[in-house]
Amino acid sequence: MRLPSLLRRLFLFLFSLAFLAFLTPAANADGPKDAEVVQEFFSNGSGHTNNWAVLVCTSRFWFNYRHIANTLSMYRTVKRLGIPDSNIILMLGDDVACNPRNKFPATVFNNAARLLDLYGENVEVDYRGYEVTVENFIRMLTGRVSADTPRSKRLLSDDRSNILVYMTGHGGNEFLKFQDAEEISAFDLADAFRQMWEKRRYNEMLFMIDTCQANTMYSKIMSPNILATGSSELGESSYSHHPDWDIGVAVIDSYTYYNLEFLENIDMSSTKTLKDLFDSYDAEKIKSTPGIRSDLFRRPLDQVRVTDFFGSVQRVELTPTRFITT
Amino acid sequence: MMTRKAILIPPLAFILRIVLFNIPTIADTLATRVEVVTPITSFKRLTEGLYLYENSVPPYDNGIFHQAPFLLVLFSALTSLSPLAIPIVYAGVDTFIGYALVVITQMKQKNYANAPKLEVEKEMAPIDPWTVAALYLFNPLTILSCVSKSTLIFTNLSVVLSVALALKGDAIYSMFWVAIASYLSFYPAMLMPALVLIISKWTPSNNSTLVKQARASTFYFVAWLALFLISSRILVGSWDYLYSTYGTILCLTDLTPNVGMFWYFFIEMFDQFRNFFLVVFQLHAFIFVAPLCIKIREHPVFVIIVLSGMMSILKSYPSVGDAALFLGLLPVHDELFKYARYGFLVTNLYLYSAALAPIFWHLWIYAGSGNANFFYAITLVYNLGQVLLLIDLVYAVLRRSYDIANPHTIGKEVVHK
Amino acid sequence: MLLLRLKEKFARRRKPLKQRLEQRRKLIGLLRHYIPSISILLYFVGVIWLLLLPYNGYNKETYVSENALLPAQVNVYYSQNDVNIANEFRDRILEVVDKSRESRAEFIFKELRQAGFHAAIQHYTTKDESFNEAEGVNAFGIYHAPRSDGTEALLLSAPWVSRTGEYNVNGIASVLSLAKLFKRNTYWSKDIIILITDESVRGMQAWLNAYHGVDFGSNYSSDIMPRSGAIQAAINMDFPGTREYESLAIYFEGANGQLPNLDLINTVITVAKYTAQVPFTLHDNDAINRPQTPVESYLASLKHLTDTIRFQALGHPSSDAGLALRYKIDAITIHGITATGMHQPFDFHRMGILVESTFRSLNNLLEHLHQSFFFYFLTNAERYVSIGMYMPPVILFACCLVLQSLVLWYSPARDDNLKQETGASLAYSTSKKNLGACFSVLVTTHAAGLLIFYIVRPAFDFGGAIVAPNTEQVTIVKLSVSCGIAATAILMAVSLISSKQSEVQVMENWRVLKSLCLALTALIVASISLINFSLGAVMGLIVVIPYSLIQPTAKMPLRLLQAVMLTVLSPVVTLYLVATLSRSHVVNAVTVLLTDYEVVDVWLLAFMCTAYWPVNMALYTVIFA
Repeated sequence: MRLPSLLRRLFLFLFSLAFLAFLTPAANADGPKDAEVVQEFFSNGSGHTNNWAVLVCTSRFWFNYRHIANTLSMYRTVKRLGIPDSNIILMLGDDVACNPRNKFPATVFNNAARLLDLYGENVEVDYRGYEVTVENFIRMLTGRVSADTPRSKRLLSDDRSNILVYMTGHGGNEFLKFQDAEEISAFDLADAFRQMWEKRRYNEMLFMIDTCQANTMYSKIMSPNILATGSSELGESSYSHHPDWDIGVAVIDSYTYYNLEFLENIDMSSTKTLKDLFDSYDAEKIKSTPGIRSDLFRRPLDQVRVTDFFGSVQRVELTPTRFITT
Repeated sequence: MMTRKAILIPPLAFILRIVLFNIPTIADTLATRVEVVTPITSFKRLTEGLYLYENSVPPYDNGIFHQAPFLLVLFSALTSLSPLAIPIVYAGVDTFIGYALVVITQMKQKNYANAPKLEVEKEMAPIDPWTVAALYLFNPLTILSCVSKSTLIFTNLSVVLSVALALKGDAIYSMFWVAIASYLSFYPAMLMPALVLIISKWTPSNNSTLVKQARASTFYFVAWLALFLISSRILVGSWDYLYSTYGTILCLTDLTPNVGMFWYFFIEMFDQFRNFFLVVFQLHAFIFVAPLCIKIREHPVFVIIVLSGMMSILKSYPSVGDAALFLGLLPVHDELFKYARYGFLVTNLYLYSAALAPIFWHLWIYAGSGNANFFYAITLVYNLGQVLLLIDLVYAVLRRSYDIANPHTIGKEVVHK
Repeated sequence: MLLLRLKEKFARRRKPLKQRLEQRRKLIGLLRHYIPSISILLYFVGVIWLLLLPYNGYNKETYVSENALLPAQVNVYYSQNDVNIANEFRDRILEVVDKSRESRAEFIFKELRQAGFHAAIQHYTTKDESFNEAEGVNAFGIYHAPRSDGTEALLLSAPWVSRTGEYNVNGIASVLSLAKLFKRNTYWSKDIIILITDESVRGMQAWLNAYHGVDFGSNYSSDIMPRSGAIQAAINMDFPGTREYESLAIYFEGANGQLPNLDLINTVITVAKYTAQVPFTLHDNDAINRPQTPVESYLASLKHLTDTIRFQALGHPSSDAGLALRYKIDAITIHGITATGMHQPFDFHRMGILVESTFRSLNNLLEHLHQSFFFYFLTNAERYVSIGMYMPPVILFACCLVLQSLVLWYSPARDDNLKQETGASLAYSTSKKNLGACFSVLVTTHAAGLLIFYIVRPAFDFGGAIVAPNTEQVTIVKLSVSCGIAATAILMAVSLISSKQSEVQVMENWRVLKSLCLALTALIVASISLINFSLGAVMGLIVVIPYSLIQPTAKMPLRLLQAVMLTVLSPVVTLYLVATLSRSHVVNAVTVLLTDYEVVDVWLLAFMCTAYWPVNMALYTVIFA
């Protein structure tokens, strides 16, 4: 039967539209395949997009020079490997550079050869002197700071941040002494880390501690993705490495010294893993038994690069084709 | 009446004190020793307050003056007289306290003349009243407290006068003096029930019952106290003197070390527990009134003695002046001395703490080789001595009553069941 | 209910009352019989314990307690250059040393000022040997640390005359060269004060008093006294003559037996051992020949101990540095023992590096030394005895006396044979003690003691009747007067106590009096040993047995013997014996005592007159009661 001519023309028009639509090539690549690639890009490695470092020296007084030197050495290392000052929280309990007893004023050395001045240029101390307290530390970690805290004192990490937390000072069985007046216990620390996990303030964390009986300090941590390492076991003291006979005090601790020995050979392009770092620990040289706790960490250590924590190296992948985004 | 002792003792005591007042090193050192003066009895603080008062500045504004306003009036009158007036007044007051003790002893012995007593006591003469006065007047603690110009002497005077007047049966004036003592020092208020007991027990021609007497005395006490508080308010111009005087005594705002137990505790007390412990400690001081008055109601003068001993241990700012009052009242009941078991020990404890307290203070404050624990330990020894003395006394009175009631048990061992 | 049942259950197990009372009576009788011997035994245990202190198995090795000190861990910069400077100073000092005080002080003042110190001269007045007013001159300078705030200071001092009697030439030269070295460096957290004192103790005491605002009688070359902050530690250098030294001697005792913090001595010893490498010892004992056998080592330690006890018991500071302890300044004197040529000597170089390294360590301090001991005995430079280890013997002495006092107090009265058949004694005791007489004896003797003290003081000149007070003759007169007063007091006391005792049931007066005296002695020994252990220990050692043996007898010879014993123990004779043992005259001993009292504020004089002598006098009356 014969359709009305108007209806026939309508059908023809719609049909050609559909045919054309079928023939038009897609603007983007196929959707599902692209998401996979992106996912692979982020999950094959650590999954982090930015790095933070929290470096804490909890001691004050002149004879704890080496703790300040420890912390400043780590500061220098992480800066050298790319973490900018805006992503570093540096807490120093005392100012030994300007202490009148310092024979070399305005300098801090970590080696008796005195070739490298850690305090020389471009040092940004965020928490200094009496600001280094347990309360400030925990508030900074958990993000519960008062509204008037300046930006440099905030840990503005997110769920894709890898954080290096390095602490040094005087400690004991499941506690760390802050400023000769208070202590933080292993439980407080574990609690702070748990709050960080619940608020998704980190992706992965490396907790490094250099004190006496340091390994007890990380024994209570229970949040995922935390790798911890300490300088000595329960009942052991951590020793300084060597004194500087002109300054008159010990200038670096053993554990940190050997860590630095390894880290000085790392640059931003290095592919050395944390397994290499931990394998380099020699309990005899360090004079105490360093410990490693990796049960909460989901990746195997031989796949974790040193620069995942100590530097700010993002994964970059060069694609052969250009992605056109319209 | 005027025995040899009565003629010799008062002038001798008076002269001794005047002589000691005139040796500046002794008088000045004593005025600063913490065992003898406390923040609420210190003469130096009184002069501070006096200066402000005389210059029409509120005297309690300085935060270190914690004494009652009547003392300001008294001392401003005294200082306007002459510089000699103050030593004479202190020495005179002390001597008068000795005389009041004589009166108390005489009245007590008169009242006890017909009371039941032991066989052996019937032959023994009671203590000479002037010996009691001599024991008070020549007690080194009394002399030290007097020469330090501690204002506690007025509290002691009021307490002793109130006891003497209560023994005489004069309820109104006895309550007047105990109200003055409470007004000056707060803690003597705990003596009021015992005084009521004295009045009701031994007043001649008294037909009122204990309850009536108690009601009347309480009324007098409260009335006098109210009168004093209101007139103080008028003198000083506002009510904030209450906070500076009784507030300090009750809330321990000044933590200067003294021979008491409070300061060390409250130095290291966390703020959240402070109020609780203040209540506990202050209650502890007052809690002995009721049991003592009930159990030992036959010997109300003894109750006063024990309570004054309690005050010298459990006050918030005790000093050796409180112990002087306690030890001065003690020989009034001399029949108890034969029951005392710990005389040697208590004397030794007193002597050792008296010798070691200045030494430990020196080691703590001046030599720097000791610390607060040394001094507190020796105050604990001192208080231990006082506690032992009190225990011994209470034992003595109870045992004596038992022996009097059961004379057949004398010489046999008594076993508690 | 439960409690009652428990009590009944246990009551059944107890022996019957009669047996218990019998046992109790026997026990008390036994105690009363044996306590005197037990207490004498305690005394001997105490003596043996005291002799145990120098034994190396009992005492411990010293160690540095304060973490901040870090001794001997720093390089020293006192070089040949500084040695040359010191040599030059030595020559110039030798020129000045015989001149007047004024010119000597001027010399030091000029040198310090040239070195860059804020220098001043102090003219002070003090009492000389005859207790007349005399003048002295100190010179001192202050280097304000450039990078610090000047709230604390370290003191390096030297006297003009050494303890050996020679001039302290090397010491002062060393101090001046060190002053120049210190000025060159900026690592000081405390100010440095250099002080050269006149007349040994007097100069030091005058400077310390003026610095701490105790005495304002001095005049200065400037308008006011230049001051720095609180002095944290002081080293006094005493290196006599111009020759070399073989060992370093440390003198640390202060006035009234006070001691510096042990860490200061430990620091100096550590530096001497490792940095300066010089032989060291305490006081002037032999440092070179170390004891070989255990017996020798024990005897050497005993000698060290008795040296310290000697200084402390007399309250006499062993060196100028001891005066600083009163102001809470930890201070010691280092003294060079002149080389006899047999061992390798040391000179300015090692002296200099010793002091420099010590001062570097002291510079590290953040607060007063407080970690280590304030109460200790050093049996040699590296071994110590702490207060917990040396206090028990004196407590045993006091216990011995208290136990005897207790037994005497509770001993039965003369006519007390009132005992019930059952053996239980009365709850009350009607025995009377004649306390009045005993107290009046004690009051008399104490009043006599006070009077003696008032007279013997240097300030007392018999009301101006004597033209030249405090010369030898006057001292002898004062001593005789005191003996006279003592004798009078004894006679009065004897008459007081011999009053009639015809009343029944009165305990013999002498028992009560002896009990009181023994209790008082125990109190004195125990209390004094807390501030000056050596004085308490010495007093306990000499007094316990004689006082325990005093008893009244009818036989005259025994009475005389006891009286002689007490006289030997009385202060005058004791002083005489001490003086003879130290090969000098009793007048010298008294003069030293008085000088200490006047200049250094040693309270031994007051103690002897008002605490020790009255008890001694009271015990005479026990003999004659």
